[in-house]
Amino acid sequence: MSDSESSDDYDSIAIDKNEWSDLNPINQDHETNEICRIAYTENFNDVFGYFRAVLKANEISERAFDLTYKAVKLNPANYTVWFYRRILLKELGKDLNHELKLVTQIIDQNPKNYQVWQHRRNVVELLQDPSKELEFTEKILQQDSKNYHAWQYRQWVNKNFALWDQELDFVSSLITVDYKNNSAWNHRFFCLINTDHSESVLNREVDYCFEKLNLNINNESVWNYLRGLVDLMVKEGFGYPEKVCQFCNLKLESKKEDELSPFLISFKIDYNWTRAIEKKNSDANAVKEIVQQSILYLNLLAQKYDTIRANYWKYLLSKWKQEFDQYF
Amino acid sequence: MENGEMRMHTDGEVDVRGAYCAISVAKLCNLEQFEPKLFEKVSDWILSCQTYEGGFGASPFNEAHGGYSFCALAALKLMGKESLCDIEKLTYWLVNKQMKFEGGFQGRTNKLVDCCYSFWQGGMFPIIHSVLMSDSDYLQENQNWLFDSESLQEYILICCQANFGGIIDKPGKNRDYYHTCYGLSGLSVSQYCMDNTVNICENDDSLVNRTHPLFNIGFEGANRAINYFKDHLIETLD
Repeated sequence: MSDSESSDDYDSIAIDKNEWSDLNPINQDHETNEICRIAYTENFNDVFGYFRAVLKANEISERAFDLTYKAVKLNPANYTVWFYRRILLKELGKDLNHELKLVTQIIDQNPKNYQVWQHRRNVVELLQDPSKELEFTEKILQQDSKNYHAWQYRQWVNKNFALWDQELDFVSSLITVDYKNNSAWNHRFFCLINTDHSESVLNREVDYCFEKLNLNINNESVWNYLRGLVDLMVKEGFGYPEKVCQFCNLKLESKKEDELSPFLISFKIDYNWTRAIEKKNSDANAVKEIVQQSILYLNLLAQKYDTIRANYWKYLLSKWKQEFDQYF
Repeated sequence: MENGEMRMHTDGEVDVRGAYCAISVAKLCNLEQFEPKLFEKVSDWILSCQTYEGGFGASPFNEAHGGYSFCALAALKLMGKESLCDIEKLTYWLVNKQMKFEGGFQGRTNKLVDCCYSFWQGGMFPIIHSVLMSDSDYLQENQNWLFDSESLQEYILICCQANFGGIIDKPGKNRDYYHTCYGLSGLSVSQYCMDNTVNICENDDSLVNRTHPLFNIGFEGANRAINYFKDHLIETLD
């Protein structure tokens, strides 16, 4: 809950009714049998009562502008207030750099609120000045490295202002701190797609995955990223990277139980499916071997290594049977 | 919007929730009678929100996330376009969101369990089942969803009930209406199979009513609403 009604802030958000004697506040339309009436404070009711009046009268004035400040401090999620404030910003010719400072403060206090991030986007778009934006999102991500709004906003800044230079280093430093930060891995893929994803770069990225998998073979973020890379390489016509098969086979041969990650096994099964389909009408022996290995792995997953997903592994088994019935 | 995006409100944020809200209301109230081309480009935009992981993000390239994935898939299903996404990739991502120790679902890869995802993630399974079963005798015969229903029900009922009633995110958190709503919705999805048979994993009085997997309102109520608006064409405002 917001603590914006603490005594420090009280004067800046309290309303002076003398200033508003010319307007009648409009009450929120309460039905007589509300299931759960919110216990607003008197000040909250005053601020929003006058806001509704200002909105209805379409009043463009300094006092209206100040009122929207009080209103967003009390409820930063009220998108109607933000909407009206944007109109006032424009009509009154307000200093947008000052507004940027304000929204910085409000996001800092409410980092998971949709409206404040949207407001920042609107202001920065008008200013056409992204110079503070990467630093700002970095600061928010230092508080919460997976804040969805921060990542989403950063992606918009990158794309809208073509600011890509810092991104790979930024994302790599976050992955070094926490190699399971999936938001960072997702951002890495986003950067790749929007910048250089030539064959040599993608090969480098595959090596990067191996490096991280050698630290922890059971990291879903890396396996998902690797799948994305491999799909991209095939799509771009570079072909399936042999070293990925080799890496997987090496790991699968390991006798250590904790090396047999379900993600590793399912990655191999997925690879096997593509190979088996390819060779279906040309190399029966190879297909038989692939099918048998896949059945073995699927049963291992369903019965031992990943039992919570047993229903899914059994479904995949049925798909293999359906497609390669003669090899069962 | 021109490229199929939908804003949450005037100059508000663009994300797939907007598309889902608009489409689900339009379908329930049969609004397309006025504007058959209302959602023409929206499905393409939604499809572009599917990431390399298989789930959907809020906007193109945003991280795959349970809440947004549900909105995307349900919206696509309502438009009859659910088969246009990569269903296999989505399914693989989705099944891996069930936590093997907790039994509940996480919203994103490598994040923590949260009871509300019982619905956002769990609720996608009926939709996926309806797509995959057209090409699978196994799924036509097998009425259970592709996740571990028992483990989910246990997580909700054993780990997520607050002492004096209400449902919570995870042990240690406080109750609220949002988690109560989506915990119960997820419970409902787990308890009813494709053919409407019941699958109760705790005691019998834990059975809740059946929710509609696309609208998440009571199943019967949703059907009544759809039929009402189909039969009663609304007068135009002018």
